Amino acid sequence: MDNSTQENNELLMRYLDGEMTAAEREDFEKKLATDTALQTELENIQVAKAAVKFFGLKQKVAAIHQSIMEEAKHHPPVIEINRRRLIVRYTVAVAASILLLFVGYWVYTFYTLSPNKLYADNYFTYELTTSRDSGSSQESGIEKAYREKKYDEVIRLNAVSVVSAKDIFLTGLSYLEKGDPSRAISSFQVVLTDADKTKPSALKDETEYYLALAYLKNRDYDQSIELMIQIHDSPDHIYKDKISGKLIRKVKMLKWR
Amino acid sequence: MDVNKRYSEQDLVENLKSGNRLNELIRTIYRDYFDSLSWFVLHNSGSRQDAEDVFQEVVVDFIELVQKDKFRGESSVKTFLFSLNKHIWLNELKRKGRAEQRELKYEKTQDKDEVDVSHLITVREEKTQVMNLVEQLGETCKKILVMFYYENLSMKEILEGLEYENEQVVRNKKYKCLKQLEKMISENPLLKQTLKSLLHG
Repeated sequence: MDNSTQENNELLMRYLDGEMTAAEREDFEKKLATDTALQTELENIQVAKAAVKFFGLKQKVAAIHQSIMEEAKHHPPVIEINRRRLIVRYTVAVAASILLLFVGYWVYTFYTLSPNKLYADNYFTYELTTSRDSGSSQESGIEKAYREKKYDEVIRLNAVSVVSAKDIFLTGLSYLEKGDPSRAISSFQVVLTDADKTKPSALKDETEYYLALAYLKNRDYDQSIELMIQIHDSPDHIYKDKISGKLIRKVKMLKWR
Repeated sequence: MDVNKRYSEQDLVENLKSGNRLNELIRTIYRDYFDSLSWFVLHNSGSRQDAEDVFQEVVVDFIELVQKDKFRGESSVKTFLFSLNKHIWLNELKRKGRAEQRELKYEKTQDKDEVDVSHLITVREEKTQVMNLVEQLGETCKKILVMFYYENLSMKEILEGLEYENEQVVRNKKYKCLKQLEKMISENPLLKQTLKSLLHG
């Protein structure tokens, strides 16, 4: 390296590092303007400096990256949920699930419910006992026909003979068996009216139960609900256990639909 | 160092530009953006390692662009970083020959807030070339040059960390190291051109 080149290199370095005085800088820049070799030299060295700066930054970021990843490995970010929040979260989740199930069940019940289905679920054929309530061994024609499930005959006999309250009750049941709740209602109402006028009928509880079902099948929900509640709330009613709160709620649902 | 400090976008950019508290700022960028930006890579055929590599590039590019005054706040920092992250990763996918896959995902991830950063950044290979070039210097050379030109330490401060007799010896060493690097660059015109465009933007 000759003296001139060495001198140029030193100047370049001092210029690059900002170590020149204002006067030196001015002189150098004048020289630079006319010396293309010096320009190339400066450009190369500036590129080299820039490469170092880039390398430095990349190294710094890499070192910090490494450090952060190591920290994360040893102290993984834990989502700290305190115990109380955890309990609240699970409780809310469970409550929401139960609510969802309840709502789902309610919606399903609401849309699948029908008066005929509810009636069929709660109706059972009334069976006559072998010993007669009156104590007489004489069985009426209506009773005989009912026992033999001849419901049309029961209805026919009711129309042509003088009948007892029990016969009217059996007639009402026969109308239900024949799928005529409207006439069944009329029959049961007669039984209950007569019972009120005279003495408590032995058939009052039975009649009320079947009347409530007849109202249901006839879609007279208000009357059905009223009677069901009355039965449900009477401690001595023999059909009390058959009228559950759930049944009453279902009839109420039918009313809202 | 307060790594939990919250910076406004303006504070972040101003401090990056001046180079103040750079370590703290880099940690802040990691804390605030690493997870959300990694998500994009992880959900676009990338591995965890890919996500980390891309994010490192994002941070380096962002700091460089801020310091060269090429980020002027036309978009939010988050949008800008997201755009850098996306662009770098799609370039990488393309390079790996997964262009078809890239197209598919690219359509799905179009973002209205995205900004065009394609003209601002260079591809990974060119950056790698620079890194490889400097890596070829000896350890001491790299240390002296980085301390002087990147960390802006004085000769006196550099001397404290090295086993040299005096500042002049360090100065001479630095000169030789830079000349060595300059020689390596000048011997490869193609690389020089790449470096010029890469480093000067």
